[in-house]
Amino acid sequence: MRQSFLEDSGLAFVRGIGWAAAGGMGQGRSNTSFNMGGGSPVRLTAGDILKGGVHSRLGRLDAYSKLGIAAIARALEDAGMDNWKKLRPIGLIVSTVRGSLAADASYYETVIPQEGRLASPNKFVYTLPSCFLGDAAILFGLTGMSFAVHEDSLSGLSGLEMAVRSITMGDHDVMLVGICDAECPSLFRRKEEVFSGAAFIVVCKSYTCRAYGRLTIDRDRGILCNGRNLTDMNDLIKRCIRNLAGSQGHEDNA
Amino acid sequence: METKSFKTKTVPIVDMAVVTSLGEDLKSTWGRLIEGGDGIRTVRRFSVSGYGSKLAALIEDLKPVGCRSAVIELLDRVISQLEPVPPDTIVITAGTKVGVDNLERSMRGEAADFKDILPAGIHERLSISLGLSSTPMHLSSGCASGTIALAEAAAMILCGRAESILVCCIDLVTEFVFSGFSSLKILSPFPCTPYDMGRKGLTLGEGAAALLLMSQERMKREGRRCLGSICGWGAANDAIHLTSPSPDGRGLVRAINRCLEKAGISNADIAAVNAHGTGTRQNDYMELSALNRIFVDKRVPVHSIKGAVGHTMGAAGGIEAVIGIMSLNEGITPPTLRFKNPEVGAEEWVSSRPVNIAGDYLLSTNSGFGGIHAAILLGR
Repeated sequence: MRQSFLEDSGLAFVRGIGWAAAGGMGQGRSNTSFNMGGGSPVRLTAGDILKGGVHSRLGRLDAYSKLGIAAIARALEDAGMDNWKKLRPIGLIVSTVRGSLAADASYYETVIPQEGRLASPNKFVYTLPSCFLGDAAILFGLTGMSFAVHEDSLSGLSGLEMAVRSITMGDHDVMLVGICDAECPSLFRRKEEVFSGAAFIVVCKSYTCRAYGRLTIDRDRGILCNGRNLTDMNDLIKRCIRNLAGSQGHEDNA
Repeated sequence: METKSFKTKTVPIVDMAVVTSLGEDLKSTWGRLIEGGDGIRTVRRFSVSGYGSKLAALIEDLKPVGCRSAVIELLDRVISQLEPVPPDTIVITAGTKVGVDNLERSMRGEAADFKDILPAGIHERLSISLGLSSTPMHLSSGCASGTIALAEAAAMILCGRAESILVCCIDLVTEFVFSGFSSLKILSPFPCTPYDMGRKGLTLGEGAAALLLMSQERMKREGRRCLGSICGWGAANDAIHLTSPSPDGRGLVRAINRCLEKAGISNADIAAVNAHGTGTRQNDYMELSALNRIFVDKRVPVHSIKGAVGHTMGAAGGIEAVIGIMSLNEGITPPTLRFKNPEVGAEEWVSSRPVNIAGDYLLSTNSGFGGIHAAILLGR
């Protein structure tokens, strides 16, 4: 018998959405205008990242990390999970095209002069695209796994599928999964430009009254939302927001 | 919704290969490891006059070809050792700064292919080399990248999402990473000495590993031999500090416990541990703390190969998994080089000589910046 566990499992629920994009920053339940594409590159200050003000950790973050943390903070708040007292085994996955490319260029500029004697340790740390996930883990008490998935176009679906699979297999009950890309450094800018911005969703094992939608994995079709194919994370978030708007007062998306 | 139990399900490894500073293939790398070979040398690839350490474990004849990243050449060397992979194989790559040599060249005004600077570009070149059309999927989680990539691949197979997955783990020693680790003051001025009282940091290394995973059914249909298995995995974050692990090993303990729970075995079943063992004061101390908490009633042989092949960063998880499989099959673990004056308590675990082992399971762990820890259980 074929060893497959997805025909009748692979089930998780979207519970929170947050983003920081050209169209502005927002959350699923408090801002119905979600637009990740186009517009000017998003540039956040340390004070923009968290709603409650500046945190001591945030001043040294590079642009990519600021976007990611801002989206994660808003997604957790949207899910009602922003206040915490105990560490939580929540995992994080981010999909990205350019990753830390801007931070890499900024760091290497400190290496070139004087044969590396002026290399910046603070900048070097953020040349790993998964590093801001470590900052998120510290800020929000998250002790699950964390990694970045590099893609050639920012669909985010590979990372999303991995998150749902992790929940299905019992590795995590809750995952934060999203997309993040910062402005491309001018030296490497090409015609086929990926937007800059970040969007994260909170995905849970259990259905709750706050759920936006149901995610499943089909062996052949990949990740589905309420039984329908997805083109990318943008598509998922828009569907979730529409779904919630269409079922106000009856948030039964199971 | 009840979560199905995935315990006791294993994922076979049917082919594997490595390239390291010790050898151009698995046979030479393994042979020299057991003999106590040392791949650490003075760096001549770029100027190290500005750094406290002058050492790394380089693959000396590795050079970029034309405008391509040297990563492509290294990948070509490792995949050339494999049997042909099935056409429906999914490729997952893993590493920390693959292609950054091309970023260096670009910023210095030299000709370099931009496509190789981004990991997805490297992945695409690899897929084309193999005659595959795999969607780009490159995983990165610092020095835990390789172990996490293997875990994700195993999960995909167990869930029926794929029958055949090739995991390629790779990283280079470049001026970029060398200067970065030096700026953090964690490079050892002499060849690294994991778990030794006199240790003063890590020594970087470069290398690549390729592991072909298949479902049990596909392996039988293809008539492939099972070289070893992935039996469990776990990952966790300290949530304390970005570059230093928690001294009490809490994150690594969580990762190992999750791994053993998934595999459905206890610590009593583990024959040996391939530890991260970088040679930094913080990492090695943390690992000993974690091991004491996991193996309360017993001691198992623990080794680190980083004294021989250097800290290969994102490639470490893959290279060490391959060596772990070899250890299980050959019944012997490699020595931990230059382990002379043990850190307090380390003598109960670590040896400077090869150690004979008997058993079916080997635990392999890695830890990375961002507070991440990952563990994978390998089976015979």
